[in-house]
Amino acid sequence: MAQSIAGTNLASNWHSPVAEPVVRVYADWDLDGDYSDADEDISGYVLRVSIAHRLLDAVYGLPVMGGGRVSTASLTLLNPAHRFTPENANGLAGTYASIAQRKAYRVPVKIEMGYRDAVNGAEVLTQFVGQVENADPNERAGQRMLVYTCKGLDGFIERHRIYSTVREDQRVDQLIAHYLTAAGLTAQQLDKAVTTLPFAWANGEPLLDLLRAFAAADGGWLYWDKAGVARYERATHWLESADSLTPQATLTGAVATQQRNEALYRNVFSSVRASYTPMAHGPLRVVYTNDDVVEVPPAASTTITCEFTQPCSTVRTPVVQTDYSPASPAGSDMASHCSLTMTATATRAELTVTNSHASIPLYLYRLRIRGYIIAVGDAQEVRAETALTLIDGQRDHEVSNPWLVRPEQAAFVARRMLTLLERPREIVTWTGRLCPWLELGDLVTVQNSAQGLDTPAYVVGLHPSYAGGALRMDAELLPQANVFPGGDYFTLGASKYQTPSDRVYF
Amino acid sequence: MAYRPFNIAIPEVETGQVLGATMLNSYGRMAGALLAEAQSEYSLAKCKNSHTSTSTSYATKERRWIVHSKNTLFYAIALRSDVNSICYLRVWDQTRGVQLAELQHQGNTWQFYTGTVANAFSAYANGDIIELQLQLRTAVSGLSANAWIFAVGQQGVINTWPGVPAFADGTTSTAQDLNDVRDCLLRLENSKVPATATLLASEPMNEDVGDDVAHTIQNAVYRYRGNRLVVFVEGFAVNGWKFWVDIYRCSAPSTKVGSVQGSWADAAWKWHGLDIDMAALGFTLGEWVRIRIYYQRLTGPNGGWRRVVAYRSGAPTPTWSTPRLWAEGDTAVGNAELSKLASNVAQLYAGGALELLGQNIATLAAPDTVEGDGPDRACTGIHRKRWLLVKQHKSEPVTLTYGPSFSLSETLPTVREDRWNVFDMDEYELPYGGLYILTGIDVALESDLAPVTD
Repeated sequence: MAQSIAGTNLASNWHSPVAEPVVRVYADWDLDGDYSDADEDISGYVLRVSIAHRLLDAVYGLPVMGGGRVSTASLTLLNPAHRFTPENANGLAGTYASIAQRKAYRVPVKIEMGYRDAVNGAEVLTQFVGQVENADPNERAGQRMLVYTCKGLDGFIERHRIYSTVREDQRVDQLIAHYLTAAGLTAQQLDKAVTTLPFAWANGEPLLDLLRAFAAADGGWLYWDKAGVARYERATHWLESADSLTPQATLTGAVATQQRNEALYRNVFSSVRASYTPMAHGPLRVVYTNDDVVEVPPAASTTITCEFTQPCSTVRTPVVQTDYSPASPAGSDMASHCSLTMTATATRAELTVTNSHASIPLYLYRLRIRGYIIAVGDAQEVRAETALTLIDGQRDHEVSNPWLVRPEQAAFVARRMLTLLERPREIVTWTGRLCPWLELGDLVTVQNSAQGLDTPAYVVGLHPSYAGGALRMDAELLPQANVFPGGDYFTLGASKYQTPSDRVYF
Repeated sequence: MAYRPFNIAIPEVETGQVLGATMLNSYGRMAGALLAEAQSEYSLAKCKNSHTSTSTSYATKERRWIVHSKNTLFYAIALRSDVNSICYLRVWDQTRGVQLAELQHQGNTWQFYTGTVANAFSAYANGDIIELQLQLRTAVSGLSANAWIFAVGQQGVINTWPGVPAFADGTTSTAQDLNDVRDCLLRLENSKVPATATLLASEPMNEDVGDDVAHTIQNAVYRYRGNRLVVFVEGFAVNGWKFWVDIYRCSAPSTKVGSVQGSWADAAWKWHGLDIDMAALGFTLGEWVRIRIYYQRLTGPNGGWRRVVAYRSGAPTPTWSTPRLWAEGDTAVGNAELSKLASNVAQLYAGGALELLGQNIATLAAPDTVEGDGPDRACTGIHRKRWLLVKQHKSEPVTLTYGPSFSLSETLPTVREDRWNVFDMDEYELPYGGLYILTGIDVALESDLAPVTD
């Protein structure tokens, strides 16, 4: 959704050849949640900025389900007197522990860009919110710079792994909200999903992968916008959002410096197969058995990690003499000296066994854990076939996602995917002055009379950059034609009940 | 109509959202699944003969079991007493040791009581197995109190009903319209659909009756829904045998409404059935019906019966509108199609022609110790729920028999003869809607919930 330019003159200044570029960069060195402290405005040191926001899948070069790629920013700063050098105690490292101790790792960064208006002065919009991942001083004779490599907020749940209990009957957006909030990412703008998952849990996979798998299971995508807000957009979002229905800018040859068309015939498929695995509440089963004897020294505790054989909706704390038998080395009952606490997730538990006896070691025999399993059925398949004959023979695309659990859900995903993949898709790359308010998913009109190009297209990649005193933008654009099977879709609150009515989507 | 458990999610929609065929179909599928739940064949539940007590202390007359899924207790019971005494009947929660309901009646004619007790089971979690006891006593020692316990169990309740919207052509759509339909469907599904399926627990079989007189072989109950009642009996007698079905209203348990019979001659064990037109007997939707099935050998030598199957059957009612199967590109989002959905949903609600009868009847043993311990205890039923719960009889093998002419048989791998065993019926070839026989059991029932089993 395009950023608001109300009250500004950015709409006219962005393609004015005389508008002076403005770049503002902030770093929250003291990690206090704002950029208002001394030294946090580092705009005066900026040499170059390069930002990338992409909804494009790395394999297909198309905006497919789940999400795109992690946003990145490369920030090249002048580094006079080694001001930003982490090892320099006389620079900022002497003031800020975040630089001295962690080389600015995970320091929040905000980048704004825009133009100076003759009346209003500097008019800027946020182009990137993220965190520093790496600081790379680049110092040699005659050159003293430092490059901060930054990632969007999504980048920091790329390797964030969690284990969770099972959440039941939650919509995909509710699941995304839950896990994002738990990870501390509370800036969210989430469409209401059309899919409710009977069960969902985290099993130690990277959180971003998990959330994108949830999104893909609903036919939508999850990404972070330029202001660092997590956005979940359902499959029909581009048919619903005003900024995806009406062009937000016209990218014309007059300001374009380069255009390149890339036909993607290699990614055309004649069918999409989506497999799903039904899930249901299962009975109480033994999900963990310890074949070894657990030994606990006197007056001590031992913690063991128990991986379950099947995911469980709920797990029972082991019951003495039913699920384990505590005994001394001589075999006498030690139940009165044995206590056991358990912290369980869907797929594993941490069991802490405490031996309260002051002198006798405790042996725990036949330890097992019982839980109500989630009964996962055999995988079944749904297939969507194209009616087009654009390629020879049969080329199948397979969709595999553990969160596809119902046939209608799999059919929806397969049809949606097929719509994207049954035709060659052209991605137009447009380069020109930065149009600062555009966001991923916005509709623009791209025109180049020499190339015969005049088409509405969705913004699927944005690369704002600043170098040599100029603001630039590389925009990757997906022409709107045939992204959806038709137009005039039935929209609740706008369309009327009647026959014939507006059309329904998949 | 075969019934298959459903796992359908209906999305909640919001203003500005584009309507999809998948979501529209989910409404229709959910409504269709509820219709199937209501209209599919289902087994009658075993009903014991009336009980008598002359003691002023409560004595347990029946033990029943149920998988917890709803908080409300329901009962359908007839009481009678000596004119100079009072009959007391209480529903006792044996699992928690608390009284759930107590009924009393004075008078020597049968009085039929139906009712509910809210929150009777609110202390339980879904899947808990609850043992109920039905206990009877009289107010004056030596004077009789009688009870006929037709059904007791759990029932869902719909406290508020949002009502189905009108989809008038020419009016602007709203998300609320569809969310109301969703709400109705979910309330019906969550609150009224049985989570357990009744199996008909057999009374003791008799493979050689040794006489030519009538023998009661099964009592059973159900709530009437149009219009057929099917009864099969496995029997034989070389020189002829017959079975017949006497039919009563539970509201007047002594007054026979009708009787239907058939007769055959079989040199070997054979199943024979009667398909009874219950509508002709004047029953109305939801009425509690009791049947009693008799066997009689016409002449000797030899003859007897083994199993009994009894289930409600009936054609789908013509008042149901087949929902549209939506596809991308459809342009029929108007009153003509959407009102079918609304009308179907309204019919499923209380007072509708297709009202769901959502009671989960607590099941009886087959047979219990009073009825006589015997080998090869059995129940019969129609497979409707995924999970089969079985209490094994002693160490007898539990055998599942099903398929064409009951020609397929498997021994279930029971592991605990003193506890409930749970089987995933999806692992067997028995389709939903298929008839089967279980032998070697004390108690058996089917459930949507894989229950607590220890």
